[in-house]
Amino acid sequence: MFGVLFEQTADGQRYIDWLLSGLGWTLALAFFGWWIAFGIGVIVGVGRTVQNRFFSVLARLYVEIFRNIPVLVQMFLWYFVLPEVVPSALGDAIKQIPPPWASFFPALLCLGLYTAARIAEQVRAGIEALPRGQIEAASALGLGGYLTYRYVIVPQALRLIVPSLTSEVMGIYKNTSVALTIGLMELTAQARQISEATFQTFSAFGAATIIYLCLALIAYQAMTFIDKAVRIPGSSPVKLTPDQDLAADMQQGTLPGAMEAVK
Amino acid sequence: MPQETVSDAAAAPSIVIVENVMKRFGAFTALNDVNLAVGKGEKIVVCGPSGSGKSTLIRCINHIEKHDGGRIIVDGVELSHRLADINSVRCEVGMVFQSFNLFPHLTVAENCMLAPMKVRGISQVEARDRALGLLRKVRIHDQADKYPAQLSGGQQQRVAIARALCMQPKIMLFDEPTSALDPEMVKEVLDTMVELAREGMTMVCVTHEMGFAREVADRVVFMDRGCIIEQADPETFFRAPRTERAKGFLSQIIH
Repeated sequence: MFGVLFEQTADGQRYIDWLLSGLGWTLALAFFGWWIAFGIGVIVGVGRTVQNRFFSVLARLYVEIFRNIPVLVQMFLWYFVLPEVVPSALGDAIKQIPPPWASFFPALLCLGLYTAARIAEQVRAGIEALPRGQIEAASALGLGGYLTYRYVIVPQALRLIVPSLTSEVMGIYKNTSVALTIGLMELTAQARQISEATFQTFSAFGAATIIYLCLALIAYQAMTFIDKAVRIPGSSPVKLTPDQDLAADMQQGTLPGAMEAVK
Repeated sequence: MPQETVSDAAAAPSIVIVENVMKRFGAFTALNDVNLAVGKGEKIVVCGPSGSGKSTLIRCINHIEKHDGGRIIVDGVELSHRLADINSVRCEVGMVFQSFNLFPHLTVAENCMLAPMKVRGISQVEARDRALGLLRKVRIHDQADKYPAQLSGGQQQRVAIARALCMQPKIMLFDEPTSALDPEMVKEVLDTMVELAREGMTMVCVTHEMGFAREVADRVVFMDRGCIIEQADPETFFRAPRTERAKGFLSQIIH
């Protein structure tokens, strides 16, 4: 079924090389975009919770803007609109960037800033979920605002949100496919190119789908590993014992209402 | 002789002065014109029914709650709402909470080392030495590299005491330190506090442990509805409370 991938292309490569090159761009975009998103997301998320109204309003504004504009529109804004609205010298410089990078950098910025807004909200939720006593204890020891965030609040909040950050990791790498609209030859773009060159649409997108799925599984496993690695010794995730299990209840028919449903 | 200790403490200069302090939470008045002076080395037990403002009072002393009126002077520094004053006061005032509030992501030793290193600026080696010394004092040094969640409640509270002591405070505030503990763990924490009192630490304790009050307190302060109703040395307070409210309170907690 995927035999077509190993056929020669017009430029002397094989189609699978196109896919792998696309995979490379996808991974580069997701990886570097993630660190931009994580860095800005933590700062903005902290900004959402500080007492200072100026910073909290600024952070709120950031989140609302970047979270509420569709990724595709943001992609176009960075690629088409930005060079026109900055001073013309800078705009010209941006337009001079050679091809793959001319698409890569706007895409990186777009995905990084968009995902940052989403991460910021999770960081805020993590911070707000901490018991007030933690902040009080830090204050009572004379730790100021910065030290309290740096050593007490943020390390705990980040541990709390590792599971939900998994979704963001998966989100950013799936959103990399939007970069094809501004001409970046990432995985989806390459699949489309193969499909157009060979008319083997099913094989081309089938292969891309499998690669995306594998990446998702790897990301999930990596995040599970991180979650375990940073877990605080002595604390354990909430787990039901076998006799509390919902499935067991259903089998035994002890689930409230289950008997009636069976009758 | 206990009688002499009382007069010594009373004669010593006040390290905490609370003057006409008011505190409101919305329409609720938590502290209503409270006056209290704590002498150097004095041990005060604050008691009273729940909601009487006793926790609020000691939380105002290190500005975890902002007072709305009156003055609070700690170790010569008036607690205005200026940050520099607040942080300098907090370094001199240790606090132990009902719910321990240890930092769960740090080991026992790291809990004790964080503030001395980051606030006092001492080296890591010195901070660890100091932490281990104080953990030894609260008899928990063999657990120094465990995490708080791996310890019992009583052990956690003793770590919290050691953590506060690592800042070498001049005053220790205790906010119901034994209320969240299982009964069999209360004693180990109280023993630690008694030991601390014997060494001359200035202490203000909100607690219902009347045995502790009898043993170490120079003065018992009884609060109700945001006011200090009565204060006396423990012997007098327990034997012959002057006010009806104090009598009512004592009859409920002493069975």
